[in-house]
Amino acid sequence: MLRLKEQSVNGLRAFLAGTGFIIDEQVYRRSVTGKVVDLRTRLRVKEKLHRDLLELFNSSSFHQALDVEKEIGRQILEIEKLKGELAYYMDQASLTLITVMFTGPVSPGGQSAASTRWGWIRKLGIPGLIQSWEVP
Amino acid sequence: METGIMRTCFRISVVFMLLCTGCTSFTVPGPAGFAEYPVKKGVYRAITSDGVRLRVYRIKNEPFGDASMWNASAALYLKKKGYREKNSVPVTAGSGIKGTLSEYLYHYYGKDYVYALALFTDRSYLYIIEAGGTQKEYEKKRESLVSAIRGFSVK
Repeated sequence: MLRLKEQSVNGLRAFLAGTGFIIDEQVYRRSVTGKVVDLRTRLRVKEKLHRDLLELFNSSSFHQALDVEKEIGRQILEIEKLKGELAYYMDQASLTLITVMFTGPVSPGGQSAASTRWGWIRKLGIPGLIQSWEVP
Repeated sequence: METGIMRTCFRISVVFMLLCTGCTSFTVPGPAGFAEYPVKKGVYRAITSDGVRLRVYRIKNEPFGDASMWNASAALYLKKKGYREKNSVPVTAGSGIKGTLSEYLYHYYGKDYVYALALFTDRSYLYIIEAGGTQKEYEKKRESLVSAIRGFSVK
């Protein structure tokens, strides 16, 4: 698994194509725009509430101040939670997640499971064609 | 006297053998840009300066099968070996003989190759035409290779 900037993906793809055949390629896109907008709105609301509570805290009596302080503490926790969630989605959106699966190489001598009862078919292929020039 | 007859027979058989090693039952128009080798043991070979190769030979069509059947058998084997089929089409060669032409991609020693296999059959023989080279060089010669395959004929 790799996480890369979007502009580096084509470079990686070209590199992988140079090392072997890309047998299968699947591209998934997931939009997180809705989620990010929602989180930002909730964060703005919570931050405004937090500011209002701070003003209230400054102008409240001792007994009220204890209750307001508790509420401020709760709001700070929620704000931090929203900020963390937002950072997670921003991170997800900034980098592309790439999963590369390598399959075992098919060796030039044909050590794969391929078999046939026809002798002439076993001689087909690039290695046989090249070797037929080398062997007199 | 007897020795003389034996010697003559030997000479005739040598001439016959020499003729047979150089004779084929088919003709392939030499593809443009290829150097052709003298036919040996019934095998026609040609090569370009950048290593694109062409080889033509025949084997007995036993058990009898048509070109598409043999092509399917070959494709099954080649695919198991890691060849990826690019295309497979029926072709009619110069003499009217029908066959198939398949092209495959193959990764060999860090390079992408194209391997082409054309098969033609008649009642007695299966004619095998192989061509291949690195993808870049093969593509340059593909046209002349395909026209050579289409110009193939059985004597």
